[in-house]
Amino acid sequence: MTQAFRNADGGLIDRGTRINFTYDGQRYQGNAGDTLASALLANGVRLVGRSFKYHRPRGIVGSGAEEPNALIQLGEGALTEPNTRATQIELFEGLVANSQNAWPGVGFDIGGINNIVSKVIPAGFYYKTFMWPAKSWMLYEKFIRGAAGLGKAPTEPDPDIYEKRRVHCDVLVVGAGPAGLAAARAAGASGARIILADEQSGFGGSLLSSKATVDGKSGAQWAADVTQELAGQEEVRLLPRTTVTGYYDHNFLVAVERITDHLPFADRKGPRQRVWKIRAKQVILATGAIERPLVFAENDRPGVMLADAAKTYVNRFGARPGSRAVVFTNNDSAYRAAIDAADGGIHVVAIVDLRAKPEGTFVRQARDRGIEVIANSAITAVKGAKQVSEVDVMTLSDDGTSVSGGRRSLDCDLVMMSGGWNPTVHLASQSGAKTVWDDTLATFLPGEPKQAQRNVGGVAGQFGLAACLESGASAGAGAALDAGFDAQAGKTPAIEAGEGDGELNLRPIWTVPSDRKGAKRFHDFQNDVTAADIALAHRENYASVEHFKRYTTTGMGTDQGKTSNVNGLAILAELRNEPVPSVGHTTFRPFYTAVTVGALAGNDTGPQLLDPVRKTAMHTWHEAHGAHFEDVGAWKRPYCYLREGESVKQAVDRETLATRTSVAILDASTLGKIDIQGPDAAEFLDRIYTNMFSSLKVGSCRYGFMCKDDGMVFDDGVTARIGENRFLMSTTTGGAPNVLNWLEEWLQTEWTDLEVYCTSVTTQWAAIAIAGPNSRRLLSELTNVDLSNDAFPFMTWQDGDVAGIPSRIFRISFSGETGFEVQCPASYAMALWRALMTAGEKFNIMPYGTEAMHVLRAEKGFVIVGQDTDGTTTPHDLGMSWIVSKKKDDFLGKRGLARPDTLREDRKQLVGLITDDPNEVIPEGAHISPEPHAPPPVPMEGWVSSSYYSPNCGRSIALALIQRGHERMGESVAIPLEDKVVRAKIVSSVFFDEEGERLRG
Amino acid sequence: MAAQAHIARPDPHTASDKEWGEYLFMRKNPKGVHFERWFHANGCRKWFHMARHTVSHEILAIYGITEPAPKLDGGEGTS
Amino acid sequence: MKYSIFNLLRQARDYHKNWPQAWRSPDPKPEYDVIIIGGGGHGLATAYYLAKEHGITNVAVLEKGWLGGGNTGRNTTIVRSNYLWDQSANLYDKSLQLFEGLSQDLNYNVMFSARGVINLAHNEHDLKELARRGHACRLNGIDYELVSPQQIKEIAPIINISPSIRYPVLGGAMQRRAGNARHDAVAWGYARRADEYGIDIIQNCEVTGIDIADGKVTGVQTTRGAIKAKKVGAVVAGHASVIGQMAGLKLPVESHALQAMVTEPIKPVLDTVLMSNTVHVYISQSDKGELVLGAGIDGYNSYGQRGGIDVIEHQLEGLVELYPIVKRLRIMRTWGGIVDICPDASPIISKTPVDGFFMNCGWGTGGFKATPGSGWAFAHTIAQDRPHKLN
Repeated sequence: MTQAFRNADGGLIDRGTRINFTYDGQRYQGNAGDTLASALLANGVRLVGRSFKYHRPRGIVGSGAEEPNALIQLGEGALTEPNTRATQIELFEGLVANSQNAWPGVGFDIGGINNIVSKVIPAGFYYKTFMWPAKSWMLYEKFIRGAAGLGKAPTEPDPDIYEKRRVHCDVLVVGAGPAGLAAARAAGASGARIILADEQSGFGGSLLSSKATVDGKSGAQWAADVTQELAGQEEVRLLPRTTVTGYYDHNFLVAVERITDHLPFADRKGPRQRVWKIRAKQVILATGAIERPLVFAENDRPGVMLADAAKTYVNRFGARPGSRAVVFTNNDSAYRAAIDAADGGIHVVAIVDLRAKPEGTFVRQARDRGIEVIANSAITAVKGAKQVSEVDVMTLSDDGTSVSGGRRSLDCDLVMMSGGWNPTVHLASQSGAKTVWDDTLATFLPGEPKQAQRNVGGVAGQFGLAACLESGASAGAGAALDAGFDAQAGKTPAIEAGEGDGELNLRPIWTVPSDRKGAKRFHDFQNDVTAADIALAHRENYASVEHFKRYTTTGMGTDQGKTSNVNGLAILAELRNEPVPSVGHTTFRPFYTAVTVGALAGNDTGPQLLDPVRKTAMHTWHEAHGAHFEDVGAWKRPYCYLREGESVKQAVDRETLATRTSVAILDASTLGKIDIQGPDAAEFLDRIYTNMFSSLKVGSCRYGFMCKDDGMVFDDGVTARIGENRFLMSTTTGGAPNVLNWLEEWLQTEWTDLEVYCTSVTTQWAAIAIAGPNSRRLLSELTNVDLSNDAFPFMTWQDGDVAGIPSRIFRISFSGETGFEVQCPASYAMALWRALMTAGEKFNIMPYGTEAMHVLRAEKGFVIVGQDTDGTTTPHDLGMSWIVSKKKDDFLGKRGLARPDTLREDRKQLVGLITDDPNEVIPEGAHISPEPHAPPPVPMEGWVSSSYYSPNCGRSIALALIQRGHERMGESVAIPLEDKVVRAKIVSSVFFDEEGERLRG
Repeated sequence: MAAQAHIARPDPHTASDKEWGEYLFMRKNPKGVHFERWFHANGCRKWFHMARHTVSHEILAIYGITEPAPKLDGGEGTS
Repeated sequence: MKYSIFNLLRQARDYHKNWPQAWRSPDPKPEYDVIIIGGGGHGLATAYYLAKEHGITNVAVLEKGWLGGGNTGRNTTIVRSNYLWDQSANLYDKSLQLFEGLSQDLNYNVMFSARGVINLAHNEHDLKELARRGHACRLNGIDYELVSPQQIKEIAPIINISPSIRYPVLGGAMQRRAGNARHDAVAWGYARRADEYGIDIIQNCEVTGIDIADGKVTGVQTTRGAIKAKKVGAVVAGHASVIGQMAGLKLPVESHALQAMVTEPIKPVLDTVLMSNTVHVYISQSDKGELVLGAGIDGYNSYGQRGGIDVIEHQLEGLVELYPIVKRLRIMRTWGGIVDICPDASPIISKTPVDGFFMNCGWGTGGFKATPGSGWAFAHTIAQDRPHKLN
């Protein structure tokens, strides 16, 4: 295909570099410097999409982030990306683009039937129907959902990577148009740390599509020179292709840099996009302004375009969006666009102006060039289904609400419209600044800044080049000064007379009248919302701005209303007979333009980095020996070790039996360990634990409970007294971080008189539990420490070498067997583990996992905090009143345990349950009911917290929390399951070795 | 994480059930200046005090965890 | 005018120029039997059920902004009732039952879509929690079924059930009757019906004080003047403490920002609702095609209706792990609402020490799904001057 609509010269594209691309299966060529939109226009492609609701044919409207229509399914396979604006896609070799939301294609789209019935489906129609027959909504919904949505999500995982950077700067300048460049130049000269970010590939903003000259050079050249000057400054960071998209509290802004999206796939290396998290001392917003459409009959036909966009295509890309243009405007700026279009080879048929007597520099220039100006008139119809072919023009009444007189038809294939300009106030508004209405410009401007922030150029309502350059330079210097640097605005660049004229002389006509009844006048193209929809919303009293938005869906498309919001509000204001500012606008929320999920997730994804996995020193051994892991807190723990051909249950049974019959070892390294030191350490622990620790002798250990101050059990563990002023606390695996925070909280905030220091040593020390009748014999082979019961009684600890490794041996047990726990520096732990496994061969030693540990402790009735407690359980509920000191004056939870609620007699209490059928294992989580056969809601009096088959007991066992459980020993209770009612007897929670002979033996 | 500051733990021996319940569960929830305890969870683990506006999120004062609340314009000093 | 396809067709002939107001915008009367403070879903539902169930129609709903403008219009629209605790479960299930017939009851399509909600389990502890909750639901007569990773994959093909991801999906619990509804429509539908009963819905009317004499409420002060009332019920999610303070009440609630977000619209990829507490990921797809994502709460008190981006980032990190195809989609809009967080996460619907003054608050992150049930129970509490057993 030839680029039939490409001018032979002019613009910033590289005519020497041809780029091949495919759109809807057809091959085309563009040039380096093109966007997909400009390349399509150069090839004469005007129809680029179908609208969301009515599936009306649509063409390109804008030239940047505001584009509502030209949404593209970009790329294929895993790299496909829906809803991408053709106006912001930089063309690259091999680009594949497809139109979306149309079937079979944009040319003929079945969904277009919606347009035919559009009369019946105005705004909010779905709230009024689809209710019959009852409960049929889901059927209707299926079809509605299928018709809705725009592009398609990829079906494969995204192969790209993303990253984030966090930076501080003195001055962040958002937008590198004339104002932003001037600001950065003035601030940069001071030596302040500057970041200049712009969403486009090149800096210059409006200068890139303007014929204005600055300092005697073309605008683009001036921008390039300033950019180069800035690039040479050490403290200046230039971020092209970077959209600052969120403005948060404390001058914290989020920007997204597109690093490789513009490159051919083969050239893409490294991260695709980068999120910049910027903390700026001063912010300068030079975000420009977006042209506003006019809301007139059939204004959505392909070929109706913003005047400035048409100018941009001609000036910057040398691409003609049409051959015969009618310009339709309410202000002066479109005249400049008309002149540039004419210069660019477009025949400007006429300028239709809503104003009675347009005059001004550009109006005069247009007239001088022989362009017909049809003043005091309106376009009342646009013809041509898939491409504009003709417009009707009629005379406007004085008040602008009706048209009259003869209808004049103008033959054209392009309508360039301008309804004025909307400053891009999004970021300013996100920062907390209220907007203010400007009557002259008929738009919202950013109001008084709420943070250290300035607005310059178009966003501040300055549409003249001179004003932009001047305000930019002055703000740049001011921001640098405020950030503590010596700065000056410097000399304002010279521009040609007339270029600086930013006057719009605008006459707002929010809804352009037409003689065609029922003709659609769109203010929101993407979501297909018309002036009639606004009227309907108003009529039905969805008249507040938020109701109007939600009811009509104005501004809720992917363009977030960049071209539609102000028009919509103004039309609503007219209906409400109020000024626009009293109607207000909806809140501007992040993001300015949508941000890729992958970019926001950044590097912190995947099994390694999402939440780093914690592994013990013996992890690789576990892996090599069939460990089936479970996640406990951030740790991976062996649940059991599977042997060839074994089921999980078989493995757990085997490990459970082995522990009670010979010896088995458990990697207990994950339990939290906190080294607590200081002269007040003992007193501190007395306050933290429910039981007494000051009485603990050096060399001994004690099991302790911690409660929150409401008396509910929070964590547990064994704490050893290492010295007079030193303890080693152990915590649950998952609770370790919270316990450390808890200790610090009390030390730092409440008990500041105590001198105590807490340090987490969880990962410094590995821990191996050795349990079983042969545990002493095994350990004796590896250490000289006298392990006899007399020399090393239960609940004591001693230092000593084990297998030549300096270790600390604890005589403690969570299995109820004779047992030891050996702690050694983590770096030696693998050697210790191997030594134990080797020495234990003769005892048929085996490792056991967490599930066997759970069964073993349940056989003994030992509770697991978090499994047998749920945040509403007290030590008394657990039948562990012995652990609650009566002697201590105070401890955390003491007063809470005396509250009426915690003293209630009908509290759920921990008991054992044995089923009538010894082989029946009650499912954990099952509830106990006094009336198991009652119809729902079946009353519940407790629940089963732990339940296992105990190979050592030769039967099932369970722990349950049952109302008044402690006084109901021997009682039979019912557990209603889905298909049956299980009966069980309430028994003591200790099922095995009730006297503890093995433990102490 | 942040939570209300300057909550005195009542004397457990004399506090009524109601007082203890209020200490445990009742929190000031001002729309305006709030005096809070903050904890530098991902850093030095230090607790500190902050006076902060709960609508604007403006930080009005940072002070030590043992210090009383400062008097602020437009906000009450509590301790 | 009844909403129906026939009237839609009839009105189309006249270019929809004859649709009446969905509700009036009346000026406040000097006195009402009952004033409801808060024109969100809960407040409007309360007003509606006061009229429908208790015949009390001399009622005003006072809203400081626009109706449905608080959390009603800011949530992720999930409706479910598979709670563990009896009190919550029964109230939420009452709510779900009301949702099931709400479109017909209100003659307003609230688009309740029983597309099912699946809670995911990522570790043994989660599995145990789901099992316990499941047994409780079964006994409470609430539908609940445990589903395997493979079953979840069949229902939601975009989920990654590989065991090697950071938080693997070990299973889930599905409530098939659960789903979502169109949040705005719930508020609007209640408003329209309440208005039909003659209830005054007064927007842009901020309550600035509660008038109390001899321990009894007598009315309220507002930005539109004083209004007398025999009873006043406040249901102002996020601002419960502020209103409570006007009545001299201390409440165990704290206000936090809760954020949510949507992606750009895409063709349907997800036909159910998936929730993961462990990873803080809540995902569904709106009828428009946006993926609706709920994030966690910010860790500090706020009335700012906006939150930090770190919460959003954290949510998305987990999201891409579980749903890899979303990584190239784009987040279009984020926003925040203010929720009342109670220490026990249980809502309060009750009388107060002030005679005739009632509070309904503490819904935390679960308010939307409770809207009909909360309104129904609150109306009962106000009308009968005693709590309903579901409260």
